Amino acid sequence: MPQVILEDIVKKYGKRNVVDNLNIKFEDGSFTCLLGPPGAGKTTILRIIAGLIEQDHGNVYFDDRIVNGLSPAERDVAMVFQSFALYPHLTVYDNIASPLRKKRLSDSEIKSKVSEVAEILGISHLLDKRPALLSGGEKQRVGIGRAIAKEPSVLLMDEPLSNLDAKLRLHMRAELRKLQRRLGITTIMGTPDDIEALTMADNVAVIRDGKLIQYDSVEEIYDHPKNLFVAEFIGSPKMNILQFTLLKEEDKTIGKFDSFELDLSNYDDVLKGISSGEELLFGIRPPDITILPDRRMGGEIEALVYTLEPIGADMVVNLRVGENIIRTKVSSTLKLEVDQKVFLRFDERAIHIFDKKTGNALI
Amino acid sequence: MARVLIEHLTKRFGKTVAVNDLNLEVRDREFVCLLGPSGCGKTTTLRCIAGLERQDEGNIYIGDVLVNDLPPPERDIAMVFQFYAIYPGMTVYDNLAFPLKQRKMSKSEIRKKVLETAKMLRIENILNEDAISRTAGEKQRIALGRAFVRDPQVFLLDEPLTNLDAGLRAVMRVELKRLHREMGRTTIYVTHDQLEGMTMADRIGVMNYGVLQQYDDPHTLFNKPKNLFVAGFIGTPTMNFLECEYEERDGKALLIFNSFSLDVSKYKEVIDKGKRSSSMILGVRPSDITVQKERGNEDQFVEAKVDIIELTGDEKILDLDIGGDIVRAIAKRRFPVEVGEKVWLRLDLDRLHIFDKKTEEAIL
Repeated sequence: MPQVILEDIVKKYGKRNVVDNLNIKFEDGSFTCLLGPPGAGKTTILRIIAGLIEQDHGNVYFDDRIVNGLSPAERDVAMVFQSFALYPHLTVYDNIASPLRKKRLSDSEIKSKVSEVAEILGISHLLDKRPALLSGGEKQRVGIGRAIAKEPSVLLMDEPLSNLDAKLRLHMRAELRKLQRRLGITTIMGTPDDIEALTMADNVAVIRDGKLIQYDSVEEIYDHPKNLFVAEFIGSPKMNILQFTLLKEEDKTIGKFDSFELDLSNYDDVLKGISSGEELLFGIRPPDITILPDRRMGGEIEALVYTLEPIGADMVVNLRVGENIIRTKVSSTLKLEVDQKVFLRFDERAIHIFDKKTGNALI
Repeated sequence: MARVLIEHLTKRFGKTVAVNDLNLEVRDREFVCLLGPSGCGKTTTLRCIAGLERQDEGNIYIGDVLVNDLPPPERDIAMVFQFYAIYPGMTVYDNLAFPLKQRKMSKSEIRKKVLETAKMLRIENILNEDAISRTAGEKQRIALGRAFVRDPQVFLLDEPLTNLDAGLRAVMRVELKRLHREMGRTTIYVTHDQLEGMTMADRIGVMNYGVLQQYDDPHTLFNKPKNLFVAGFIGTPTMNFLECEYEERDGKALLIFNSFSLDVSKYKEVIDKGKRSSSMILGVRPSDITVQKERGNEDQFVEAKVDIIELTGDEKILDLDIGGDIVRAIAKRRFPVEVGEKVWLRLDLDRLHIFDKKTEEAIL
């Protein structure tokens, strides 16, 4: 399986750079998600890698071979679309077999490949049916079957799960991940869904306005978002973002929030370049906040329970702290009442600080 | 008093029975969700309450009034739809004032009402802006505001958050719940999203194929689902279902699976009373499975192999292979485990669900 390299890729529609000088290397055999909001350029990037459209500038490499100008078939890629894109007049068998026929495989070879793929995807019993009779999940499995039957060296998927209902999406997520591992195909998938990216991929490339914002392993991108955009885009419930003023006193460094203060002396090193009085943004993820019924060691932050959202075993608690609403995630066994006064403690290892103007992470 | 009472409601479209003999009481000031997959009859029910559809059989009471023959304006309800309707070419203020002007309220009264409502919905600082050019979240708030200013007895909401992005949906869930608490109006809310139902409602009516499956508070629905459908519909990740055979051996009550068995003697009496045959389905939620690297001392540990790991943030979902059966469990994110590794599971015996395989009704 090749590694795929994009070098200085630019694609314009009219005057707009839909893909804006993109450089990225997709490792051989890895599963990478292109993650970004609608209109970020994910689909265009996938289509450029596939050879369905040509970039205006830059090179696409499969290993050390430049594939610019080659057709999808010559590149040996397969693509799965959100809209399934099956032939309505053909049976499931013929849908999967059609790319193999184009490759001029013998009938018996085709037959054995189709049954193998159908077996993997659990659609053997559907081979004689036409797409109209299938459910959404079955259709998408046929779409995937058609893509992998020809054993491409690169698999591209454009929001393959977006048209499925929530339950099925959860199921297919795991199935696709497993299939990719088993086949070891270099896989690149576009999605606007952060949880999909976290759960399925080895690496995530966050894309916005055609630019690469951050490219890292899933753990790294969750723990160390490079800027505010990535921090807020990844993770559910969303990271809490609060504004504060940095105050450097003689013996300590303090973050002054609208209704409380935090001792930030431990971060003196990273905050060296920031002058006292500057406004910054503070970020903390909901699971990294502990709710206490009373004051323990001092330093806890007073809050009022605003709403409780039980979601089964967990509960999202929205808390009013000064003028802000802070989300936390706790076990639903915790007994809390709306309007109850509680105290919060932030996990020191899990705090983030961002520059207010650039949005870049300082911590 | 604005209780809503539905008695033996049936609505057919041609041969399809959209709502089948529905009985439901929504108490005064209660927030009730009608929850189910598309086509389950929830929206039809809401439209019958609103008077937009006429039921074929049954009665609907709002307050103490039988409203079967009343047109929508006389039912004293306000409805908000998934596709928020905004009057274009009007300011936010005029959008909110519109239903009040139709009622021929005085200008000063209208102004007071609009300001009060706008403040509650936090749109008071955009009242003079053009409504149509606002963000999706603000537009939905404007649509809600137009329903709220009329101060009706009952709010009917039809998937009002579905067209918003995930982040905004989370914010609006919190706001709606808080608003309901402050205004205390009877609210019936239709959604296919179990998360919305679980987080906002006092009680949830789960529907499937036009039939009310269960009507309970979120806690009871999650912990004591009445049948397989409700068990599978509520909660994410989904409850694990494993087919098994019930057997009594040496005075013990056992559930026999492909590659292991589970001693459920403590439930023997309940099972004996409820069972129809020996074919059953065990249900266990992913959060009720403990995963360990070492086998514990107790008997009830089951060996499994890690099949898939999905990082979801601070947790990870593990797909575990128990001799061919796959179960999902939740582990802390820092729990060190690799695909292919052998682990030990313990199912929380106090939180098991057992269903009859044929009727799909809960036995335990």
